[in-house]
Amino acid sequence: MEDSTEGRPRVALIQFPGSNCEWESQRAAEAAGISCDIFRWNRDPSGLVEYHGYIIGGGFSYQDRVRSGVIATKEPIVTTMFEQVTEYDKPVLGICNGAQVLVEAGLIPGLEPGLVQMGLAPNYPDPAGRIGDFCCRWVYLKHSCPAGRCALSSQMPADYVWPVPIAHGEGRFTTRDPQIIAQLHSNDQIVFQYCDADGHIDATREINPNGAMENIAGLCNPAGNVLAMMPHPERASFIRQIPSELTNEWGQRKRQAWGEVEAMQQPGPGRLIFESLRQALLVAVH
Amino acid sequence: MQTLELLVSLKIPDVTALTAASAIRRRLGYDEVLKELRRSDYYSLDLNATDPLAANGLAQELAEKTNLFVNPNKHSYEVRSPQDRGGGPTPQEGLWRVEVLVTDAEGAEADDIQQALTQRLGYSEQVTSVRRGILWTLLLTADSAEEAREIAEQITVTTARDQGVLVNPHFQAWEII
Repeated sequence: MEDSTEGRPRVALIQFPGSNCEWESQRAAEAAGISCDIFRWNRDPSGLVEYHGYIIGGGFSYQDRVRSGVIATKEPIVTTMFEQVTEYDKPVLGICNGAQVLVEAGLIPGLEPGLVQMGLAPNYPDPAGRIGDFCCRWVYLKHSCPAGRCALSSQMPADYVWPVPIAHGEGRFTTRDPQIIAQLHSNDQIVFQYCDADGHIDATREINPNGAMENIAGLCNPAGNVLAMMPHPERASFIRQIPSELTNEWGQRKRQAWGEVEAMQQPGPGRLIFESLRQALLVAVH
Repeated sequence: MQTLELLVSLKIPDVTALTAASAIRRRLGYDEVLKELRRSDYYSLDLNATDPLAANGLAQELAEKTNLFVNPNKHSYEVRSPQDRGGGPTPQEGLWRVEVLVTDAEGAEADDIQQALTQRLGYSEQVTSVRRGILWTLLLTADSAEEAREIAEQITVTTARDQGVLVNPHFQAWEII
């Protein structure tokens, strides 16, 4: 099933009405060695079967009507993807609105696939009173699970701290069932947590921008082949995308790249997510 | 103190309600059951007023003059008492109206509106509390009121990928009226 022209694993990036990150996600995936097709939601869903895995990108599917992600989950294309992911362990990466779809589809946390065991609630109000409760800024994430636990972060070492942007109004991982959180911990399903530049985790709004339980920014399913993350790794996949004012090594690399277009095209920290996806797709190929 | 409900609806087509109705009918199988779905912004107002008539006048004033609840270019509104909630049978046999009130599970208080009313607009004596939510009105085909409520519950609560649309129970509360 490998792409005969390029020898790359193939991923379908599912595009819903209201998706708005498909092109940059496609570019990030292709830079990591993946053949990425944008697959419209109203195509025959059986066409998804030929792909080795899936991406659901950011945006506002169905204009976030009713609540983020819920209308998209009722579409036949999600039913087909759900079957491919649960029956054949194909990898799927959900970014931002894609994460919302995966949670509402019962794939995340996926302790009982198909059951909706969590929600991505509206962000807690910003204490500074800035535009509504929408968070749009760079944050730091800590890779909180053991290396290799999640197929979609397999190329990251444990405790890796990296900068990445967020842009969401409904991104607060929450559940009314405290047992779910206990199980996420015991299963090592908490892949990413919001932290500061040194990896320190606490509940202050500067560090935990939306008030998520346990500072959760990304979760995987028990099998590790599904990752839902609110931050946007596709917007941190090239050095040119990194803010020059970051004080850590990534800001330094960006400043060093000034004036050289090729240097600007070098990988940013988010590339590791797509390189991990590529590895997971290669497993699915075989 | 008098409590009144202010319901604010779009005069233009409500694409959120239309999309939800489409998903419920086409994807969840309620095509023959869900006859209509409407959505309103819901506010519960605790008002210091001497009698129901004065309270109603104050609620009308809040809707008309504060610019916090109603944009007259696109909204219509209704003020009602909680005793006048609209669930129950309709004139057509076998058709039932069910209201579903959805609120934030962590608290329905509309602090921003309350602050604007009391601190900026001078209603600190008259308005003691504002709560908000979304009121969905469903017209359902059913054999009884009990069956209509059961159907409304199934349509409302997203317990699984293929069940419910209007509420995620992990962060929203709901009341079938």
